[in-house]
Amino acid sequence: MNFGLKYGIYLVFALLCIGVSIATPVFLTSRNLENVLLQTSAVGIIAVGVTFGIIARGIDVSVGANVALASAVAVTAMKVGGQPWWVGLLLIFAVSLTFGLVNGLASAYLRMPSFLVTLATMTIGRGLVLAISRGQNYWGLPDFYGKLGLGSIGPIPIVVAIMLLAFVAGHLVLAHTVFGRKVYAVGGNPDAARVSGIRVEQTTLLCFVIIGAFCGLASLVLTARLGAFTPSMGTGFEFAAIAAVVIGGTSLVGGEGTIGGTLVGVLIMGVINNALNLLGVSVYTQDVVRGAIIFLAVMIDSLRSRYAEGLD
Amino acid sequence: MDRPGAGVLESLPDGLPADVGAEPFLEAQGICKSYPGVQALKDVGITIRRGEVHALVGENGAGKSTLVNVLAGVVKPDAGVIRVRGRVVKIESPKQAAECGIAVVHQELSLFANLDVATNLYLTTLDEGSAFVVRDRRLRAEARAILDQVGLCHISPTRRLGALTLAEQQLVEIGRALVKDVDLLVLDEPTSSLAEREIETLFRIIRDLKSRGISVIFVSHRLEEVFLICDRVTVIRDGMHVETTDTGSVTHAELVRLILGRQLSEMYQAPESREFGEELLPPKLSDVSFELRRGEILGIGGLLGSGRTELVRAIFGLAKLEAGAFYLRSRQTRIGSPDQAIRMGIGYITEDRHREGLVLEKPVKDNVVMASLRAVATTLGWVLPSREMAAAKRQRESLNIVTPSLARKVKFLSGGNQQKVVLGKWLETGPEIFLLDDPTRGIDVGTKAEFYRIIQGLAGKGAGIILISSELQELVAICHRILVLRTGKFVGEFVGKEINAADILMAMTGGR
Repeated sequence: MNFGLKYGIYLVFALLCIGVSIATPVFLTSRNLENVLLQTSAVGIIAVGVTFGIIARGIDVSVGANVALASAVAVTAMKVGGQPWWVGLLLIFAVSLTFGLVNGLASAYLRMPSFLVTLATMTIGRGLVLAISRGQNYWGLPDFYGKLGLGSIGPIPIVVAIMLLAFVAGHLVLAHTVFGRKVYAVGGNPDAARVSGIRVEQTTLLCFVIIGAFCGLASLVLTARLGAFTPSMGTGFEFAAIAAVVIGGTSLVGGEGTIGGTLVGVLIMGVINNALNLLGVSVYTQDVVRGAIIFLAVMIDSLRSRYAEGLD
Repeated sequence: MDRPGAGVLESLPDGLPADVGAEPFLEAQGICKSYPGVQALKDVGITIRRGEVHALVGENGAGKSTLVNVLAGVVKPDAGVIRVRGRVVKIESPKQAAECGIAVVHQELSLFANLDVATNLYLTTLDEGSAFVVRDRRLRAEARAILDQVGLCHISPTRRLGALTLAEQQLVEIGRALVKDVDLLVLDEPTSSLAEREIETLFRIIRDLKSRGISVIFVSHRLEEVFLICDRVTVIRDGMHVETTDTGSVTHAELVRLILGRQLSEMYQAPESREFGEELLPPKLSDVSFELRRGEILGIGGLLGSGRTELVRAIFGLAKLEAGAFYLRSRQTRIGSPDQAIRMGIGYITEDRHREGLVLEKPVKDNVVMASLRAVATTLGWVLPSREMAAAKRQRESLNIVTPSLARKVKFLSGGNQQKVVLGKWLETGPEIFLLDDPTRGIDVGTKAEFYRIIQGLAGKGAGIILISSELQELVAICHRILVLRTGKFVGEFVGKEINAADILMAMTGGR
């Protein structure tokens, strides 16, 4: 039974894939599968960072705004300011890391509730996106971005490779480094972590900065794939990323969760989205279905952890 | 309140009219409860007479808490019958337990830190009665009465509960049980966070309840208290009932033997007199100055609010000092944070292991290395599982930590073993100074003895130890020197032969 509790989501994912491929034969084509991975790449990268944050008892709803703002600044600099591609690249990360830093400083050192902090920065961020871009789209970016967004290394699209690297890096740090242990300790019991000599505020701050870094990477990937900037980019990313993380088994109360679980959560979300499209479900109904699935996933997660408590 | 059996007197089987004192209030028979992998209670029975104070003793893991939880309606037994006033009852929820007249004060506090004291006292009764609006003034007045009854005259009912110390919170928890009319009060380790004077208040409350015909079950590891206040004692071992006897008919040593099932030759070793080494730590606070020498076990005695814990937290970098200096090995140092303290070779076992000592959801091995993560990783920060495992095994062996696996979540270990994990965590950092705040609170007899041996062993190897304890016996038995604090000021020092419980208590309580 323990086996089922731990690996339940993998089973769900497998069943989901089987179910969808029965419903529509298009699903299992390599073209479509590649599509699924491409579509989930940006959110997937963000979800890696968000996993760190949620395990450390923080929450960040500003990730979508972060992605959009980083892109807005970089693309405006390149298209309007005439800056070369590498300045754009640096700006993406400069903006996204600063965004994360602000969130982290407020949440960790000013002790503001992270949900409210990031709600505020999300609003400010979106406002800045509109202010900087004046509501305009920009396209026609330097070659670098096109090659990144549409190119491949052998059979694997560069974007997918980046996403996989992000997951591998995230996993290695979270599961195998001293910093990763500190994240789990701070999330599991911040008071005990403090007494054990762990710098709680510093660890929390770093988690938000990490979220910022992964947002930067996601912004780069998304901008490259679209070959453009649009003010509404990243909308709904915060919801999708947090949902994927929670579906993947990371508890919102903190102290628990894995990158592997997040990967499965991201893929489950991706497959569901893909299936809804393939099956021709109307766009409006899609939201209802997605929301219902998230609801179910969180409910199952909650029942699962309550059952596990009762076992011992 | 209408309760089953209220007002009904049953005749005894042999036809004699019931004697109020002799008819049991509660009888439990054949109680069985098992969890996956362990049978917590096997055919346990207990009889509580009216107006008696009945002790329930046994090692950690023996089944006392399970039995308490059965009576409290928190746990449903697999088998067994419970009779209240002769009538069979089902106690399957705390509400049903309350309807039977049973109130339980659990070992782990279940109060709300974010609410005020008055609300905490009355939260469980607020939904009774027809009033929709909470009558603040009346609530506060009644709360005032209860607070005075439990000796918390200096606490205002509007104070936020989280602002109170652990001992004060425990007294509020006891007060909460007294809010409603109660026939049986179950106290699970009620004195674990209390100092002498508060314990006296508690005993006064218990005697008062007794005189009103209310029964008390007193679950405790502190056997000297059992002999002081209880009429009878029931011993549970390995989930089974071992013996029930009058406290007057059994000696302390016999009781210990019944609990352990084996002889314990000596609980405490008398400390050898020793030449102490160089001065390790003479911190000077504005009112309090003292020194700690290598190899010395320095006890700090004092009542609730005397400043003992604050002192120790300041040494560890967890509390800011308005004025004062620390000299470590004759060099002045500032200790601004726990990680600084750890690097200077100081370790700190806090008074509440669940709140500040352990990450309960993490395995034993994770907790053991939590303060020494750098030591089990490469320079770049990569954790080496082999080193982590080695550290965990090392501590398990040296401290005799009982756990089926080092990967088991630490929350499943018994209190004594959990505390050993905390100690193991600090031993891994190799400190020269140990700050121990009530380290044996809520721990069974056998593990306590182990702890004393370990503490004395550490001192023997040259560590300096500061020991805070609410148990006077503990301080008197193993400390080389005892400082007494009262309301934040240093009021007395007792060295070697001067140490005796009576004088220390006098100093702690202001020599009344």
